[in-house]
Amino acid sequence: MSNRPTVFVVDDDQAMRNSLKWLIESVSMQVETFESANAFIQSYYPGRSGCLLLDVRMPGMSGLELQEYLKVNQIAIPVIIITGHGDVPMAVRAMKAGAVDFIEKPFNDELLLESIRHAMAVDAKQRDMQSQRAEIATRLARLTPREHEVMLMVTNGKANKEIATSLGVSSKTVEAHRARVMEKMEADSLAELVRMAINANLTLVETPEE
Amino acid sequence: MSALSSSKWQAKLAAVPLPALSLLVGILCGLLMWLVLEPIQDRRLANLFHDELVRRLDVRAVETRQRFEHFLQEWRQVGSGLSNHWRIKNYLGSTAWHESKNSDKQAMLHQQTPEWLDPGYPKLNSIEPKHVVLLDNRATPREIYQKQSLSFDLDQLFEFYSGRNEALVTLIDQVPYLLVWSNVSYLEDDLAAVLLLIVPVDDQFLLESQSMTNDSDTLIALVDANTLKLLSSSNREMIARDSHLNDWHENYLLTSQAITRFQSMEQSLLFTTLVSRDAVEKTILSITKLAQQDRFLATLVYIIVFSVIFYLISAKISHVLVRISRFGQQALGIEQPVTKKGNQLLLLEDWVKAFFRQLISARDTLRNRQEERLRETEVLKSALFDNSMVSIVTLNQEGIIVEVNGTAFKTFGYSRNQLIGRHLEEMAIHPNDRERFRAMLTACISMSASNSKCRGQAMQAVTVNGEEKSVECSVISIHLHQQTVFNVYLRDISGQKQAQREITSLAKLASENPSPVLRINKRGVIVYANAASEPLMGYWDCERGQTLPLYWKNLVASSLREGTTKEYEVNLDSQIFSLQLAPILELEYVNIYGRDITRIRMAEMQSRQHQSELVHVCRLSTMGEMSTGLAHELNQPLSAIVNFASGCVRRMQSGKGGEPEIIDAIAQITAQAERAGEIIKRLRTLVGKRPQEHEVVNLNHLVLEVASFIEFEANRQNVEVILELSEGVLPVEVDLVQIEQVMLNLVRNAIDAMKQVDQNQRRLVLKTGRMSSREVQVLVQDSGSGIPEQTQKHLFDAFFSTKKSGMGMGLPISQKIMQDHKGMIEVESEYGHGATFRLVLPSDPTIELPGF
Repeated sequence: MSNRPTVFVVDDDQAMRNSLKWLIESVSMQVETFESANAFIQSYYPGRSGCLLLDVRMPGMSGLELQEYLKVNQIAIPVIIITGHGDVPMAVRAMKAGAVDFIEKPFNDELLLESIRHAMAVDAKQRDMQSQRAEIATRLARLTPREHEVMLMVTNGKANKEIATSLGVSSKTVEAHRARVMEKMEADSLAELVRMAINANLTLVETPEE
Repeated sequence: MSALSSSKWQAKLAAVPLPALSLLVGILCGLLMWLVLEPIQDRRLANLFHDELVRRLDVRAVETRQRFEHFLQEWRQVGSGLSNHWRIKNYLGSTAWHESKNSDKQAMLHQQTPEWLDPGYPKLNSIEPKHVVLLDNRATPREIYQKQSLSFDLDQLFEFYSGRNEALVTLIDQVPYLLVWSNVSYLEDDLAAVLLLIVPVDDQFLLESQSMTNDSDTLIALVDANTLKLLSSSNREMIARDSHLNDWHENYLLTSQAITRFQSMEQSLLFTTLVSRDAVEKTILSITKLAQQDRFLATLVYIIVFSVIFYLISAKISHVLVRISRFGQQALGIEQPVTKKGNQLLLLEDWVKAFFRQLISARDTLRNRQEERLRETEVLKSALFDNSMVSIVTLNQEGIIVEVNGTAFKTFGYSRNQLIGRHLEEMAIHPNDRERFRAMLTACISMSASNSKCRGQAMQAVTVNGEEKSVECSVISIHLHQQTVFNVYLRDISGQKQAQREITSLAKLASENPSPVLRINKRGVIVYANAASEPLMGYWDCERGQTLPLYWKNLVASSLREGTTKEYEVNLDSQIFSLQLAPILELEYVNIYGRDITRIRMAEMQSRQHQSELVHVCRLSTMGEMSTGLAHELNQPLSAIVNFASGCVRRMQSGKGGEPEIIDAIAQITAQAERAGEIIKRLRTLVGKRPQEHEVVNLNHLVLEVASFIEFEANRQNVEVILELSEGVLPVEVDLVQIEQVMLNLVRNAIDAMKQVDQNQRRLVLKTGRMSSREVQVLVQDSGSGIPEQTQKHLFDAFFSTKKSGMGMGLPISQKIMQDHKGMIEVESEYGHGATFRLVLPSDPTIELPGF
């Protein structure tokens, strides 16, 4: 199956599904429609990029429940919520649960499409981050424990001398470690290394004070 | 009198503390001993001293005599020495005395020391011989050396000469002299001359003889044995010469001895030793005094030691006594006769006497009480025996009745005399059971009384009337002194049997109960379950005697713990049971009473379903809700239309879409527009435009209907619904559905209004009544917070709502419906005190209700 970004439309009303498909396809985006949340869950797999257009009011699993399901299963697909009249409190809950946007019916086509584009961008960014994180993780795995330590300290803004003192080694050794870290992490600059650390969500493991 | 005085004495004695008394006794004893022993001791001591003294005197006398004799011996040696001196030998060799038969010729006298005499020699200590006479070998004095003139005739001396060398004490003219004869010879056996030393034995001599001792208390003297006159003494001043020996007995102790060795046979001189009595007695006195002092000291020590020991013992006794008395006071409640002061021994005696008196009286009281109790027990026992509910018959070994209690003869209808002396089995036991009864008796002899064979055997007994009775028979053998008797207990169990039957039939209450009845113990094990419990046990998948599933086991445990009855519901596939768990705390059981509530629940479900349908109707018909639904419904087709249209526009703009697609989309738009139109049409049919179907109903009935609709909702919200319906019929001719909708709308509003109020305060009153002959009314009162005045004005305006999701259509539509019915709706409310809506409808009391 292609991994072209797809707009997944989940709505119980067929007319809505068809009309949305019609509208979105008019801007050359791929659309897949599902009549219920369950149908979506059964066909979707996490690798697929795109965004989710979700009606809040549905028989069976509601939009909010589906959102909850995605969250629990760590599926990070951006969600746009479509609400009917008087569903504002529900929309607020949806936003709190992590929806990127919500749109009230009947909606302006431009508004909807803009929202979809934004969601697509969010998804792309997330995916990029994720692949980067995976790449950084493989690079990190190459580091020896000591190098890992040095990297943590370097990215936490410690000077070579400080590192040397806290690790109990000479500055030269630290420099050597640092060079190897840069090499293994394929970082051209300290800034890049720091970015990688932030991406990889590395937290400083406090070295025990001697 | 004497007894009185003795008791007085005793009292006085008792007042003296024991230690003081002991001290006194000690001193008295010591004194007594001293007084008794002193004279005896004295006398014995004196005797002892006397004996000792006599012995000493003897010794001293012998000593003095020996010294004296020794002195005499020395004088003899002096004589020997002089006679063997070279001077005398020279002299004799050179001199020749002329022979003469008669001794008329005077011997030559020398005033100076003659040449034959060693000038320094004839002296012993300070004593010098008075005369030294040199005699020739025929004992004729030839030369005389004298210091003084001789006071006696020399010739008479020669008769004392024995021819041997010797020293003799000789009395010459009543004066004692020592005559020392020494033969002078040239050759052996040849007597050349004789040397005679004459020494007066005077005071000085005696004194010198004792020169070794200078004891003034001891004197020596020479005494004439015949006349007992003192011839000379060692101390002339004290002992005068010529005094009689007996004169001195008074002051001196005398010992006289003969000095035979230095005395010629015819002489009788005694050597007497005198010891001064004074000195002796002084010694005795001093020694006695010393002894006395010693004795006194000993007595004193004795008294002290005795007193101390006595004191210690008495102190100990007094201590013990105090403890005893305290014990007596505390443990036995005997009054304490022992005070801290006084003679404890005597007090103890008193106390012991009192103690024993008390003890004896206590024993007597105890014995009396025991006898009393025995008597009481006897009475009680006989009362028990007679009034026991059980017939008690005492049999002897042969099975003959010796005693019966009242119950026995009442039960069997005999008099006491009729029974005694007869065989029990013949009198009262059914012939069929006699064998068994005899067997019980024999079993009872041979076995222990607790044997089950002798206990609780059910038998048939026969009364005097021949009536049969079920009895429970127990036999106990009692081994008396000489014989064995049996106590037969016959308990009438006819009543008991009846009761048993009752119980059995009661048990059927549970076992035949069509509802499940179970009993569970505290460990969750099914102790009892009736037949109707099978489906339940099937559901739990356990049987009688097995443990309930954990969930139910916990429920049982919590029910026991809390001690309160609880009700739970269990949904089987085909049945629903309500299970009531009733704990029986004292037995630690939980009874479970099941109730098949399938039908009730079904009915409830149906009613709920009905209600939900109704609610659905309401949603559409109670206008507020309806509008929301309407909006949603309309939104769908509208949104779809917008989407299709926008899609078309975009495609056309980009020139992408083909014509058939666009046409299709536009067809879709048409379809959605028609759908919207359908919705609007449906709405119109629901609201107002429906032709009214009027029918005559009882307004009360209508209110009841509404009340039953909202019962579920009201329960859920904890709203108490109070119906105050007027008596009699309130006939109204209305469109039933519409009026119900109006009322439901009001009631739901009321319930909503009470959500903010405390659960206990939620009260909904539905009240009906006739206002006039033409009008009836329904009041819907809530206990909510009421409606502010400002709001009241707009209540019936369209699109005015206080609810978030309300459309503000409910009350305007209600008002419209009421107006259509020629009635009215109005509201009264004081803010803070709830609200009352009033519906007024025209009513003709003459109209008859269909079916009434």
